[in-house]
Amino acid sequence: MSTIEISYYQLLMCLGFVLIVSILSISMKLKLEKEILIGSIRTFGQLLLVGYILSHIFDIENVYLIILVLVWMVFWASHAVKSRVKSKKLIPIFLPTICTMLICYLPLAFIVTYFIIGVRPWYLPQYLIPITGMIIGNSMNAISISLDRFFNELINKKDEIEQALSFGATYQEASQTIFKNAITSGMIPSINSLMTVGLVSLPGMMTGQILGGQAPLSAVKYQIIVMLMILVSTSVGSIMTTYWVRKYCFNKDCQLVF
Amino acid sequence: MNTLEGPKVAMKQIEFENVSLKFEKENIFSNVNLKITKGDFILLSGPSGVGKTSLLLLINRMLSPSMGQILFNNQKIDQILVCKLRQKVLYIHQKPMMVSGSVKHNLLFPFKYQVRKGQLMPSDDQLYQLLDSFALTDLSLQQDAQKLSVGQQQRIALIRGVILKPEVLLLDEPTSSLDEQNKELIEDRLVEHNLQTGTTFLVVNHRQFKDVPGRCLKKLSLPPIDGSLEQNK
Repeated sequence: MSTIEISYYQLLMCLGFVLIVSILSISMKLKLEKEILIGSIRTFGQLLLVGYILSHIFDIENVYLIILVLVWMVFWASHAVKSRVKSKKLIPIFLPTICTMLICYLPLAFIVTYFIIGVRPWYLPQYLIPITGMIIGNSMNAISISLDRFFNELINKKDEIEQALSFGATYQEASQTIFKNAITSGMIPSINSLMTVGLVSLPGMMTGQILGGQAPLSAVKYQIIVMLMILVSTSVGSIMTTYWVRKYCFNKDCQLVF
Repeated sequence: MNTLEGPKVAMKQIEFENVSLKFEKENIFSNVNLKITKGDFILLSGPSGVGKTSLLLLINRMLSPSMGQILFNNQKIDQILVCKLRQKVLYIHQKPMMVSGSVKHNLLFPFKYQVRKGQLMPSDDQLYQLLDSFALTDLSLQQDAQKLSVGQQQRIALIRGVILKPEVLLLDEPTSSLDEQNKELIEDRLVEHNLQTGTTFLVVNHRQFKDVPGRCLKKLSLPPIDGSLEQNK
């Protein structure tokens, strides 16, 4: 099956979509035109830049360079989580997030490429980079949702938590319910997508492979691996990061620092 | 009734040594010295914002002093495992906090904490007796605690404090949401509890408690005069 190569002229036709959304924003006074414009420009710029960089990396196939790219992706994902989560006090978010991602996701990407897909050498960039990207991207959202929920509940249930502490509860006991709620909310999107995948929509990777000329059944096999990989990465990421960040919310005297 | 009678051994239970408290740059109080004996029933009074609640919170380490030290049973409180300290020194907030669930759940949930493992839980009959004695006769243990009036919730919070059997009860305006009749009744119950069990009480209250035979209520007032909190009988 052959693929249709998209020219830059065809790509620019998509700007019509941006125009439609901008008109909607102006007419409904949503004040989102600036964000839409910047977002669109960044999409073009960032993706084209990544495309060029990836082309070179794919050609070079240098293991150190590939690992550097992965660390770079983890850094920016952790930075995005830190920016998205609004905590009242200056609780460190970046360090727990980046450590979780480095400790869990890079080995997970290795397991998937080397043992499950059977890529040789394991660092073959056309496999390792997109797979790690999917793990990091999805987990970044899950971690943000979990932490956001955790901080919101911590603020809303401050009195309840302080009461539990004053009854002699450890900080883990006092925050157990909100900790569980936070993790659940981070995991639910990936669990839901397991239920609806293929029924409601065709996932991005599978669509991409089919558009790229891959046989649907082969694309489905890859997609199943990806779905289950995302399930484990979002779960472990939410649990580890929230567990770690929670520790910073209480001081050595078991007092809430909010 | 297990009444404490005869000459009491004056065992020093809580001691403040030059304790100061600051919130950011605001000085709440400085160099406070205070001695509380086991079994005391102390009323703490003073104008608003003078640091009465903060003083209670310092004792169970929900706040930390900016200077000085606090001793509990002759041991520095920051050397006691904080959960253990809070098991023995219980603070009850002025605004009663009910968690989602029944009255029974609200009374008993602190027993699930690690620090209280092995502590005997009261039976339903004992809980109903306590509800009766705190003028909550019509209440069922199965009722939704969050739907009770603030006055009822305040009494539930006090019963919860009593059944947890701490050595020291720190009460912040414990009857503020009650009507006059119930205020007096609950105050009597608290004094009775102090007499029967020897639990030390430190109570922030704008009202004066009624003296009862065999128990002399002590009164402390903030702000401290020359660092020392005066104890008046």
